[in-house]
Amino acid sequence: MSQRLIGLLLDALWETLAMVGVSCFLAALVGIPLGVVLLVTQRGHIAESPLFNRVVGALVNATRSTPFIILMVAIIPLTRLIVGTSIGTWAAAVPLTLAAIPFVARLAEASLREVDPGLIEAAQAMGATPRQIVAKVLIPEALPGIVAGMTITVVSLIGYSAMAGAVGGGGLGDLGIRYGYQRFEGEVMAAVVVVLIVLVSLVQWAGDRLARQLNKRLTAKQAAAI
Amino acid sequence: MGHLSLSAVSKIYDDHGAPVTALSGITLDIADGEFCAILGHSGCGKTSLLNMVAGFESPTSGSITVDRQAVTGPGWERTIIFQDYALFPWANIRDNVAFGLEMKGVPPAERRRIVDHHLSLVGLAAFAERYPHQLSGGMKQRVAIARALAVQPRVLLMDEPFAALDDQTRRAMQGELTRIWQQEKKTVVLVTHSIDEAILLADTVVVLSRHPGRIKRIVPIGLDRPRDEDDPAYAVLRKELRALIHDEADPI
Ligand SMILES: Nc1ncnc2c1ncn2[C@@H]1O[C@H](COP(=O)(O)OP(=O)(O)O)[C@@H](O)[C@H]1O
Ligand SMILES: [Mg+2]
Repeated sequence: MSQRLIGLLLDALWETLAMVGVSCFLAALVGIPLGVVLLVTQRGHIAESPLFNRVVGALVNATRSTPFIILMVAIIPLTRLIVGTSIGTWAAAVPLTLAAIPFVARLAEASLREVDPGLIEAAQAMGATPRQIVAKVLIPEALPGIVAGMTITVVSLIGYSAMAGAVGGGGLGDLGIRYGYQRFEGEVMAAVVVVLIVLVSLVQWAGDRLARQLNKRLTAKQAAAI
Repeated sequence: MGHLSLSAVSKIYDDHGAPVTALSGITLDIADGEFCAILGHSGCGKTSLLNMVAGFESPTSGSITVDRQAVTGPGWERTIIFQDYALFPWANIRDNVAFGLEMKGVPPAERRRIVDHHLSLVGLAAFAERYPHQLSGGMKQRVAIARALAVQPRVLLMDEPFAALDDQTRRAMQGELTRIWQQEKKTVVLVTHSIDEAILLADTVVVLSRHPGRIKRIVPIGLDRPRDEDDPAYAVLRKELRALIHDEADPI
């Protein structure tokens, strides 16, 4: 492999990691609390507020059902407002974050919904407030599921970031299109695909491992105590 | 403190538009420190009754008070024990028992003292650092009892707490519960479909009828504890309760 190709790949990899890292972090920051809100404001849940729930749910669904490429173009004014430009890696992070938030929210909501209602009732009967139930019961119990959901999100974002690259976001997708597709440099295209495969596999492996550890942490802790 | 009073309590569920009367006209007074068993067939509204006292559901009509204060929602003065324990799997036994105290904002040193006392009370002091999945069903239920008592509730509610246990463990747990109750002197409302469990444990047995659930009879159990199934008076009570319950069997 030529020195030039390695340089190109490293730059592109860094851009992809930056785009995905930032948008994933922000999406978790907003999406997980949003998932909590979507669940607990449901009718019959610990902070029920059906109207609010319906409005937030509709917003989440609307964002989720907008194709990413359209979302990216539609929010260009917002992107300009936030990062000052609509082109480049950081500009691509804005639509990526916005697309990932409802995705994370729904995945988090699904994991939180799995929590045994008996645990919530037991906590309520011991005087736990809705806030305490979220922090002390729902999140700890749903944590392995939330981690698994974040893994899925990172993998999807790597895919989306390649798409963002196509409109000037940089990163691996951009590299593949510019050299592999437009200039017919098959070697670059192949290298990009290999790097993407390795990246996704690594993320999946690490995410699975963490989720498993969280699930097993009880046994591990206990093994140490005996 | 722990006088529980139900006044003309009814519960009507909405089953896809069709009203289902689960309970009707339940008026009941349970004195402070009394052990009351609610006895009835499956489907007669026992769980509905307990859920309303716990504050998870509200009565369709009527009112529930504890020490003259209306029940408007769940609260630590009425803790509940379920058949499937509902322990927090990610927390060890000590942290499970400490949960309610933490919610109440009890300072750590005092929390520790109260938790130690309750772990000893249920005979699990040596298991404080274990996790729920490492305990047998009987031990898990002891943890649930310790956890429910640790917050010093006025009323302890139990919904068929020993139904998932094998015969031998259930008997042991019934003995344990009697001992704990004699020591702690709490108001207890225990829901069961077992005639023997009701006679073994309770001061009063409230027999419910089905469709809708109404109070059929309130039977005082005047026997000394621990109770002996070979006692002739026990046999008389069992016969009386069996006749009351038998009436309610499905006419098939
Ligand atoms: N959430 C509900 N919606 C509709 N019907 C219910 C609901 N909960 C209980 N019921 C009905 O109320 C009756 C009493 O139920 P339950 O209180 O669970 O009885 P038990 O605990 O004595 O078995 C049953 O006929 C049951 O089908
Ligand atoms: Mg029941």
